[in-house]
Amino acid sequence: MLRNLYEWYRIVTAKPDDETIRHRQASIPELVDRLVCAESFDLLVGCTAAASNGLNDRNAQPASLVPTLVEIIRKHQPAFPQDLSENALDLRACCAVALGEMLIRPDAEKKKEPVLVASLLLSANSLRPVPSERYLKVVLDGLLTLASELLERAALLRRNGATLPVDRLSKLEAAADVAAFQQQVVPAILDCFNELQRRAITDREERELLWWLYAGSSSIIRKRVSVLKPAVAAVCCGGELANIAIQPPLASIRHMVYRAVEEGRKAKDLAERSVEDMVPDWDENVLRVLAPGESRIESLISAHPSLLPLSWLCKRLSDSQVGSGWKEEFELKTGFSPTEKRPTADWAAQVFHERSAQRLLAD
Amino acid sequence: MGNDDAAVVMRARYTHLITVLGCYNAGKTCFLNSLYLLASSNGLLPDYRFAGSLTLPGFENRARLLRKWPDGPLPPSLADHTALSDPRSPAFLHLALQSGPQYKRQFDLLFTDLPGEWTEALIRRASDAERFRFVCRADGIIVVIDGQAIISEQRHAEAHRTRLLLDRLAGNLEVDRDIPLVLLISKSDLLPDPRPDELSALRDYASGLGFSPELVFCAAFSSRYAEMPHGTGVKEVIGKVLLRPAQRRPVGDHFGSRGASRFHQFRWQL
Repeated sequence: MLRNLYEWYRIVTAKPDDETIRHRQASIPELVDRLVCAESFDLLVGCTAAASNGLNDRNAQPASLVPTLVEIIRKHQPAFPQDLSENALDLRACCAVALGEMLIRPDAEKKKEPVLVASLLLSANSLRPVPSERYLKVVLDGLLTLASELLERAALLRRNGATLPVDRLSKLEAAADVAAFQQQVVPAILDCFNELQRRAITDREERELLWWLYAGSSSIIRKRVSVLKPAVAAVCCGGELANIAIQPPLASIRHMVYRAVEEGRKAKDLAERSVEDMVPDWDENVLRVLAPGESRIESLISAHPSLLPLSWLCKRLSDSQVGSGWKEEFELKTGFSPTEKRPTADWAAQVFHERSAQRLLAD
Repeated sequence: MGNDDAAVVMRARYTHLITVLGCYNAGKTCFLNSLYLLASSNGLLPDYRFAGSLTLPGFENRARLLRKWPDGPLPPSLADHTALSDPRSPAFLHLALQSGPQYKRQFDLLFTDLPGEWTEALIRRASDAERFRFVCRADGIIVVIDGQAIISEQRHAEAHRTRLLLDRLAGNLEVDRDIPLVLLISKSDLLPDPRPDELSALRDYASGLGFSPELVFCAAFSSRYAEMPHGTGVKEVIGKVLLRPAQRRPVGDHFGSRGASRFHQFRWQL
């Protein structure tokens, strides 16, 4: 974001000069406005993918992303190069700063675009190894911290409403006629009922999550989670809890996912495993958790595999009936190694992140 | 390449900036020459494979005297004194290396190539720190300590200069202490066994300033080739700077904690 522009821009240049900083300070707000006002989410999602994973062959960025970025920068710095082979990291830095700026704008937690961006950032980067490039790590760490904080604020906002405006009803005064009385009482009653409805939804979320945990049973596979193979349990726990939760979810719901996956398990079930280890245990029911067939979600998955890697994999396996060649394609498209091992709970949390991002997009 | 050319490289892809500091005749250029010659002749295999350089003429120019060396005893001078085309700005040498399984991973490295006078000016005057501001963006810092001086009558002066230099990095430039710092002892073929105590004292001094220094004994070009081949320590320096153990993020929120306390917070948060 702009207040960290100098520090974040150091991935691009050893000593950012005043003129360059001024150019970017002028360009970034315009980029943010363009992202927020875009008619579709393509530009916004493309920018998120660019910030997370860079502008390279793996990320099929929208055709308009790079020209839009270059156009905005060139308004203030005409000599900025156009070719991606000359400016890829610079553009990535601009995307990161713009997204950071979006995430800290006032009332960001009340708006759909920043919340979606935050969710996608977590989905794209939580499982990815920390970059060894020192200053890139600084930028990504900063973005992820902002994303987590924003998601938590947004989650609390969705769940903590206003005080029930009962006082307004008790303070209603006698009106001259029915119409005047209606003008007073209807808004007050509506506000009360809206608040009651919001609380009912919040209470139902809590009830359904706790019942799901208490039952310890997958509604997809219709078996107790503790008897499922760990690879299946990871997807079911992450996906089903994400489906129950109001979006965006509270951070503590993520810990319910950990609890659900780990409860009643032997140590060997919780051992680290890779995607390559897990795929043989996934049937069509499991794949559908992250590849539900909704067109908007499917087009996001296909366009940006690096943002939703497990979703991409589930779709790929489902479409090809688990054909061969998926490992190489998985690594090429998502940047994840199919042989990298992580604890089962980490995979479940990743499924939770991805399904949450899918639901935010679909809403 | 100068600042502007370096910026062109850095704008395109992540580039590791390695700052090489050291007094006049410490062995900075010999280290860089040795690195280049090793890299370009597959001397860094199997860990690193040479993937080119955007400053080949620069490297070849610096290796000029070495190309003329007819074998036998080391000549008194193996490299020309470094001079900058713009005395106010640092110059950089570029090297691209590939590593990892099937050499898929590429590192672009920019090494500073500064005259010794720059370092000496920084040591003498804290006000000179400003032109070293680029060090705050370094991915690694190599402080070259003249191994020949450290065993001579000038050893106390050499040690004192090194301590002052470390003070400048820590105090005036406020370099991030996490940046890998290598204390490269040049001309190690001339050092006796055991190594002089001053060296471990310097490492301890750097540790006291908050750095995690690595001491590397280097013989870019060795007078005792049989016991200590040319290029000893060069690959080790690259490894110390580039190779960091792969780290995982905790999958979950960035508030870090897992377990019962976060689980129970569900109700308390509302």
